Amino acid sequence: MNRSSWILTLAAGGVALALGVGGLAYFNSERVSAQSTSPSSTMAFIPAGASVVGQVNFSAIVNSPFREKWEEAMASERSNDQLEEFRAATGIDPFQDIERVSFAAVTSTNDGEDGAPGRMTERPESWGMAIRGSFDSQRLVAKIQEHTQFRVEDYEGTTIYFQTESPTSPDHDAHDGEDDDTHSVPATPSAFAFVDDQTVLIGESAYIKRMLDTAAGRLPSATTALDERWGSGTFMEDTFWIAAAPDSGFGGMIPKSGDIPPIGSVALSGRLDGELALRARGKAADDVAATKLADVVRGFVALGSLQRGENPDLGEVLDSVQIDQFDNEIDVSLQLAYDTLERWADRAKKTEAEKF
Amino acid sequence: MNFERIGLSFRWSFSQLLFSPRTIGMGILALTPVLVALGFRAAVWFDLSPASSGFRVFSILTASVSLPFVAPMLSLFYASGIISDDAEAGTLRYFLTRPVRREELVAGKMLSNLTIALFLFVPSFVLSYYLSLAPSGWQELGTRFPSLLRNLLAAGLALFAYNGLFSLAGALFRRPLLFGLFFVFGWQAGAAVVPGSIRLFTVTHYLHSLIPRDGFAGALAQLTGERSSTSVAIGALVFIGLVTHALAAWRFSRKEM
Repeated sequence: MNRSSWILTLAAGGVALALGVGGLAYFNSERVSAQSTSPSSTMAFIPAGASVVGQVNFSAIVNSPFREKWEEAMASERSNDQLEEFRAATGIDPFQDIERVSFAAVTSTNDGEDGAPGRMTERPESWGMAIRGSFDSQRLVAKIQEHTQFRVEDYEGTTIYFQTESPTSPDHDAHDGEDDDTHSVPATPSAFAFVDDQTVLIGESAYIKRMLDTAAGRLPSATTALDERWGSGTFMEDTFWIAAAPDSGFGGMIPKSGDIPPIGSVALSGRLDGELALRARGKAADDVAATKLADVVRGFVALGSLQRGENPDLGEVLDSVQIDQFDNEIDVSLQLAYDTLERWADRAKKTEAEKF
Repeated sequence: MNFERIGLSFRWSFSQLLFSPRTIGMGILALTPVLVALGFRAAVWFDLSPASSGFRVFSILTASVSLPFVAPMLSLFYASGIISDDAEAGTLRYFLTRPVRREELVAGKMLSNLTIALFLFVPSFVLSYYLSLAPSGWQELGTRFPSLLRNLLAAGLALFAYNGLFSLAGALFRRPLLFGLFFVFGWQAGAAVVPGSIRLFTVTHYLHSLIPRDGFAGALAQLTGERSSTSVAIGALVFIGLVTHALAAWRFSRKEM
């Protein structure tokens, strides 16, 4: 081999190595999500088959620059001391004690007439959430039992507290006797269970059992289903995310017909870094529908761009919009500076004040 | 066509190009995205820019520097000199006296031009990806990796098409560099904003079909004409490359020297 062949081989080797590292990072990101199925993770309790699955990482929020703004916002609503009451009664400080919440719901859609989009019932068929943090379980049980009667049952070694008495809620009473297809969510959960000192499950009674079965490996996990649907599970380590199948979970919210192609599944996620990074991913039926969908989004961005003269902040946000398409999937991401959010909030308050 | 003789022509031509003064200039040009990415890293280091915007920086580099400027310029400055370089140096007559067919000679030279363009472009492109996204973390590097592969595929196809086009120009025209500059900055830039089918006669149309532009510019491009599907775009770039390379070889074999 002469000198030029060596140089060429060296360059090709360097590129192959760099691509290998990228490939490793790609497959490693899959493994990160797979690890979240370990019993220590709240996602390990979420069963497959849910219409909507999501997670909020409170630890990440608390450790982000967003915390100060969030506490300020919460402080304004704290005037009635409800938050302090909650802290005193339960011993839980939402800013310090809750690490992560994963939630899931199974919903149904009523079919509309003549093929019109269906209407989703307000109350999900079943729902549940797994909360990880630091809890005083005895204090919490005592507090809840002050208002509601519970039946205790042992299920596979875990104590579940089932609600036996309906809570008195004005909203609940208002619907009694009405022939309505919507229901209000009860004021207290149907059941709850402390899995250990750090994890509590809250939700519909039968769903709590399914969550325990999922964690024990007796039922398939939503994490596996999400991995299969979204590939690398890229959003599961984000600060907050929600994934849903619009057909089953968001019926009526996203049109099934018309010019906008239907979306099979959608995932929204956000990260709190130096800026708030938001990302939306949607899967259409095929790549043609995805292209149309991406064009619709680009159209909206273009329309928004026309407003940039009047609203420079909006222009800045729209400049950060990134739209990618991979086969039948579109990926829209944008960045929001905290200062921009603050200016928008101030502007909204000012507008409300002017209206008043 | 004898592949051994094509290989011989390729190796000789590549070694000549690799150590030519032109490659120093082209190397600097190819490093432009890397320098910008380094600037971004410095901005992140000094808290002037958020680390999370790494992929956006890489996307902007790809859409406004690497693919529309660096790739065609690399191809143009190498491929357009496929005949004129040797003619000006006075070495062409010696090649023509060797027991190598003209088609084989030019095929080896075109292959070496494409190889050196890839040699300069790809490492710089990959390095700019890592420099841009590394501050965002390991997870982001993995998440965006398919996008890098897609961009690399598009860049490779574009370099192949440009190499063929400018080789053909080199075989046809006395001043192929002028033709190339007009094609890149005149014809393609103009056709992109003219409604109708004229955009189908550009490389950038198929490149944008593979990597759609975002924001207002992308929406405007979409309004002025539909993009081609991914398979059509890939097919068109391969077709342009194959046909122009074949025509260049055919033209050179019949050219009066």
